[in-house]
Amino acid sequence: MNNTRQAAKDIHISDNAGSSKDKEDGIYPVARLIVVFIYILLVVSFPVHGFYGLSGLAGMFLYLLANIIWYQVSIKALLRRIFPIFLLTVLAGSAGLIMDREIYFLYGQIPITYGMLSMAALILKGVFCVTASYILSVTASIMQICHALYIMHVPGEIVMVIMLMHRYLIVLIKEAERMQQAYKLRAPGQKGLHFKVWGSFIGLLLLRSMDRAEEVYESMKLRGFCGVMQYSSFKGSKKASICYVLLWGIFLFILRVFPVFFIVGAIL
Amino acid sequence: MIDIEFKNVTFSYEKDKKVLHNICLSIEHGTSTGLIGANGAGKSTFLKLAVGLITGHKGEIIVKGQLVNKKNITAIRKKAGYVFQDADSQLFMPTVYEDVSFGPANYGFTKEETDKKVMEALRKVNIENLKDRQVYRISGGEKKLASIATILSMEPEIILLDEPSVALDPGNRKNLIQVLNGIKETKIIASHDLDMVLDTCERTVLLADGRVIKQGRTIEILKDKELLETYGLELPLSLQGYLKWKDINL
Repeated sequence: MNNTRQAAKDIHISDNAGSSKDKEDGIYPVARLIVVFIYILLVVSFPVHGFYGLSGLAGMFLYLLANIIWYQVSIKALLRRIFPIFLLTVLAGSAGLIMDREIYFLYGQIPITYGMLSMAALILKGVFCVTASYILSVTASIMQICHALYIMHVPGEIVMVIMLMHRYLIVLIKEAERMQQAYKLRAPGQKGLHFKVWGSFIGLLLLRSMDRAEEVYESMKLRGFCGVMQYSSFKGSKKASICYVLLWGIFLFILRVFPVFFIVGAIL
Repeated sequence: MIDIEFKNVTFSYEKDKKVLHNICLSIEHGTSTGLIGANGAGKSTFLKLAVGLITGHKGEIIVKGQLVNKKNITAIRKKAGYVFQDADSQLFMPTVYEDVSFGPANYGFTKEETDKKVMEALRKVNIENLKDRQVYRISGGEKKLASIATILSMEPEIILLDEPSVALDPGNRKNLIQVLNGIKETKIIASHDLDMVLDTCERTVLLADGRVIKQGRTIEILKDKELLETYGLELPLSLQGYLKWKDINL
């Protein structure tokens, strides 16, 4: 039950944080979205083999660090969010660990294999991309992100699907929370849902959330919604937003081309 | 002038299970009409048909001189606002302002016009202070008022409310009644809360099993204990008290 409540809370906090932070720095959400796109593209473009790629990849952490500090992102919430991705990438990377045992170098007595390096690179890539997206989600609301996508000429249908999926997610989580509460009150002492009720629980949850989602959609239609979202204009500085994209873009390209940590390490 | 007219309307969700039977009803402009009846009487269906949320009826439904059909539905919805029973279904945007501005923005009003309409709607329901609040953080009573504001901001000529006083405490209910009495547009209020109907509606329609049993002045219908009890309702509490007092004193 705590999980669903936490999930609902996360979505609301995300929306709330999105609106309030935007008011503070005046950077257009589209500018932040462009920078995150650039960041993800550059992170993904690093080679997974070899130490050079790994050390270059580590340099990309500077962008995340700067954003975490600037937007005062909760580390606890961030860790909770990236933990599943971390596990997933560990799982995916472990295959390379087994398959690719060729030794790249010896760290003291410990052999460092190509498999280990590619696993580390995979973990960093996954974690960095999710962290960048998470920071964007807590600094811009879903409406602002959708508006930004719309400005970037992403097809309106796709933007609308993203927005409606977000709304459906909220409805689904709220219904799940209600059902879990009702279940728990009549099943004292039980930890979670008994596996026997999983099937009916999920089926009922889908039916209930679909009904509710339909009502929400009806409410939208009754207020003139005809498939195109009307976005409210955002008060921000155009100059600041352009500077934001340019400066971050240049900085990220430098980090991509020069393995900063490697160079600093060599100098020291 | 007639705002809503049902001419021999019959509707069923399932075959051979009619929810509304041959309904003939006219709602005059500027009136406040209570739609009462036991569960399953067809109150919500009546309201949903009027705004075209459900279709497939037999007969004619005319709203503001326009036949309810696919062609006219956008124009009709601009003129007739519908407030859902559950405010959580009505409110889907992150903040109260965004939700209340959703309708005007969709109808192509400029930012300034939308702002003006939103502030006016919030003022009418006395929740200007909630403008920037997150919807999930406000109370049930406030949600109900916000959901009415989402409709008022579109400046409809007709407002349909489905069980507006459900799950409200006495204070919020009283506030809601004051707000409803302050709205001068044509209103249809579907409710079990007969005391609220007594306080807000000059006319009442009693529905039972999808049929109009009686319509007329609210007080005439709501003081008829026998009629109400026959159709699964009770005298409003305020009238019960008054009649007891009358019995004792006369």
